[in-house]
Amino acid sequence: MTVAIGEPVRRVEARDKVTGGARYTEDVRAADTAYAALVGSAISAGRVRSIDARQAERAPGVLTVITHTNRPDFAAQPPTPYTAEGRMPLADDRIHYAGQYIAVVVAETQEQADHAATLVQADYQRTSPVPTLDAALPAAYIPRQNGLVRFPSEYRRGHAETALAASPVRLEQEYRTATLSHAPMEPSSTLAYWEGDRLTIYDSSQAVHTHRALVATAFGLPEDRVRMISSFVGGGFGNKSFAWPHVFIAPMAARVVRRPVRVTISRKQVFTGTGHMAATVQAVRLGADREGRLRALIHDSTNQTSFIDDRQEGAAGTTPYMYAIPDVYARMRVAKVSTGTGGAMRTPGDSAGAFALESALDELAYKIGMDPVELRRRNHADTDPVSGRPWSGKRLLACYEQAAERFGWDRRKAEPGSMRDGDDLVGYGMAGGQRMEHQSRARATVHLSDEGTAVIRSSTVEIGGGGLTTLSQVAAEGLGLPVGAVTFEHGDTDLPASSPTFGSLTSGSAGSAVRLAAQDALRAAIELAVGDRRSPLHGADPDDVVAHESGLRLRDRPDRAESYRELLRRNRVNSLRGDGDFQPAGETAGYAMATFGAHFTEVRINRHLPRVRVVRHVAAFSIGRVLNARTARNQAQGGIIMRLGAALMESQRPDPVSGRFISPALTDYHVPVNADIGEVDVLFVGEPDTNANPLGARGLGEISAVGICASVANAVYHATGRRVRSLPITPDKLL
Amino acid sequence: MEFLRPQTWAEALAAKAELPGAVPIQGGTDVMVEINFDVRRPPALLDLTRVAELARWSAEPDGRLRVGAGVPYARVISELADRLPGLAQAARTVGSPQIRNRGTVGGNLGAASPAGDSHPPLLACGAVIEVESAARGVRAVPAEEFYLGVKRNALEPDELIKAFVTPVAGGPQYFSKVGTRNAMVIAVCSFCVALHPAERRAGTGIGSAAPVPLRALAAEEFLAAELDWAGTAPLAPALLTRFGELVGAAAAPIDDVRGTAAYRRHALSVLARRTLTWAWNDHRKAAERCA
Repeated sequence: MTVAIGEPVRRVEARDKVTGGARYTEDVRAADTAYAALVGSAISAGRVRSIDARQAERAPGVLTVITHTNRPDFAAQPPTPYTAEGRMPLADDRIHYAGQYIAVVVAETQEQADHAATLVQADYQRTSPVPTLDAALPAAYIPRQNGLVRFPSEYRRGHAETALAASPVRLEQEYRTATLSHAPMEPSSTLAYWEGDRLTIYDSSQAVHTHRALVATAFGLPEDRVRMISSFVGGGFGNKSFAWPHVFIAPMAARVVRRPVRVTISRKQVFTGTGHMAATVQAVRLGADREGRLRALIHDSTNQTSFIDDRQEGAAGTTPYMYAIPDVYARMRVAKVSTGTGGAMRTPGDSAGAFALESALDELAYKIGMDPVELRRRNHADTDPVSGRPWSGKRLLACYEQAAERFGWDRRKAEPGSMRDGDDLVGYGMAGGQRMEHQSRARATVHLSDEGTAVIRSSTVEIGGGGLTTLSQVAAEGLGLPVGAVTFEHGDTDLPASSPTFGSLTSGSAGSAVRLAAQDALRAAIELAVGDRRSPLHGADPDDVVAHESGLRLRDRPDRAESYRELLRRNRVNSLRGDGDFQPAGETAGYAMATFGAHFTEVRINRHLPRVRVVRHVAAFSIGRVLNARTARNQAQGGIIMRLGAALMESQRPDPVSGRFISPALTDYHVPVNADIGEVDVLFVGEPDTNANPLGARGLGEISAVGICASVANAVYHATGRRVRSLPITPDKLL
Repeated sequence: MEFLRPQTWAEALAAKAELPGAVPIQGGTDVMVEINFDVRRPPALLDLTRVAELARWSAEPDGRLRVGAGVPYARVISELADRLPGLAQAARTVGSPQIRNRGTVGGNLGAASPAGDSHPPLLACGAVIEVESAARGVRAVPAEEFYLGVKRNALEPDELIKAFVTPVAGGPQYFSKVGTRNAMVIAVCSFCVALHPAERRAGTGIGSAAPVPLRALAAEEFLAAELDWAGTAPLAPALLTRFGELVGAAAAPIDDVRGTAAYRRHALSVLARRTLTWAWNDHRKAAERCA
């Protein structure tokens, strides 16, 4: 057998990316393209009394200015949340947040459009905005539109209040997470053109089939009249998971000017126009006995949402599944703020939720004088506490153990503030993480050619996680080919519908589809061989034939073998096609599925200038089979570093009067740079988990970013004795 | 927006006289950001990158260095670090290598942001800013008189910054800066101390902790009175503490997205103690070698 899965294969698109050969959506050219600039509202609440576009319309190169007064109608409002906002762009005169698009200027060049956009004069009728989550909190409520319907907004088992009151040890605290921006390198871009009633749309989308359906609904078209293509995505982290207003504006404008229209949002609009992770306030109440066994847990989260949508940041969504606690109550509410609708951001709900819950567990550990790892071990959920089903491949205990050992947790002195190195306060902290594993239908074909090569065709989108590489390895191993013999057609609705590239779906769902397709192609090749008198495999039992070194052979007779090339050419077959259609078993699976992680962090804090430096972070993940040791490590490090940013520096603060973001720019919204990052070590404890799916792999993208903030905060407490319950942990909070 | 590209200094001054609203641009690392953000929309940009003499530095007859306004940070680091160590340290903390290739001390002076990294060392070293207009010729403005307010400097509308003139370091100099992250970051606060053993005094410069970059004058007077220049003993903790307090007290910080006023004042005291300790230790070592 050729072993390809798991090998640290270099990214198949790496050379194209570093040499500029990779074509991103912004690189796509169409003849006669016009360019749009989007004019954002200067106020955050009110109405547009009037828009004077005369000066803009007279500016050089301007083709049209579209506002709510002259826009064409959309056929329908496609469903949220994958349509990010439950209000079509330019729907009416209402303003719900600063930066909301109020006009679209279309011109011959981008520069002309940008210039004319500055000439659009809007007259506003201001109303009083709700600027912050604190201002909105008193009016918080259970969302009417359930956001991402992964989790209900309320969950109850047992009687948490009663059990809490009866618990010998109780803890009640409030935790806060800041509004975060995805801040990917690539601003979202859309190029749309019509040919009759056919629409082609190049879009920096993380999910072409999902988004095509939305665009088709909006324009009243059958889906097969719309083609959506997303070649490469230059970073998404979830801000390209949903279709934001510009995706609908481009085809609308293209219809108006009867030319292809390009919309590339500005850097500022990346922050205001493609979502964010909404700020949360979370109350956690824990009841336990003195031996650290949890008896009751109440996790009550409220997040800000917009006046357009009730978008839930599911911070307490995973809570009921995490520990073996008899009495649990979880609730998630929203509060309306004059801000844009939140999006999905790595990792929706769980990044924020784990900060609160895993900080609270740490507080409990200190309160009862128990090692934080031991506290978690004692409350380990051997089966899913919600469904009672066994877990599919849960190796969280191994994560604790292996990461603790790699980290050197046994060197920790329990007393806070007891570890010092010169002027540095040294702190060790840890936290767990869990992400429910989702699955999605995914299809792929694999064509095996008479050159001994294979082509995967599937609409999955490469957003930087390495999916093209890992899926190529899956096909290569299935067919016994070198990875270099596999090419990939991807990111196009003309291809078989893969799973979206969000929700950590690629390894499990898209991967299983490719696995099934490769198996199907192999089956076809075997059938051809055993039925072919001229094949050395003629007459063999198909079950005894295996893929081997770009061909087939008998499992037990290496001499009875032939290459695909010989087999197909002799039979005058150009290529054999294998189909893969992965259908999730869902509730009938008999197993509960999740991914798990354990984080261990060392911080060093100069006692005079208390800036937190994360010098060392060790994480272990239980994700089943690892498809590529190199890309997996890279992806996990990325998730960890992303959340180190949330732990230490990232905060998209609202203006306290208007609610407008103060720092919608990379000059002020700071994400970590190389100089901020110490050693980040990643372990995988998994073994193939074929209960979950045929490939045995679960997702990594999201679990990698769950638990880090708490691990850092817990280390900060250990270093300083100061418990910071509000992110980010900036030096002023440690003065 | 007009784009003017004079080839000589005389042309540049003539253009500025004719169109006083023209904004001079060197590396564009501040100007272009402000234009992108719509902070301002000047009638014209006056590109000074073609004026060759601005990109030169030389020694004055009196031994001071004259550094053209167009010398980028990268060259301050590679060519002047031995003579202007405080400024070179500050230059190393500016942006990324790309930004340091384009950005200039002259641009920093033109922008006059209180957070500009060049300002604390220029103040601590006693630099003089040379400005010029076609009508009135050259004027020399001491650094501490150059900064008038947030992003306001002493330039008249028809004047351009030509160079800064500064003594070569006569003793150790240290610059230190706190940011929200470890690189590519604007200062939360910054501080520079320059020892001038020949004059038996020390200069200071505070950045990003007041509407203008400023000297901590009381702290300088305190050092002039208290430092034992002949001695080689380490600094007394009480002296360091007092110095830190005086530097913190000299600031007039605000709360903003990068940090709180209280943190800035606190951090400045820490930076002051640290940089003075480093500088004094260098000075002691030098004194011991001479002895």
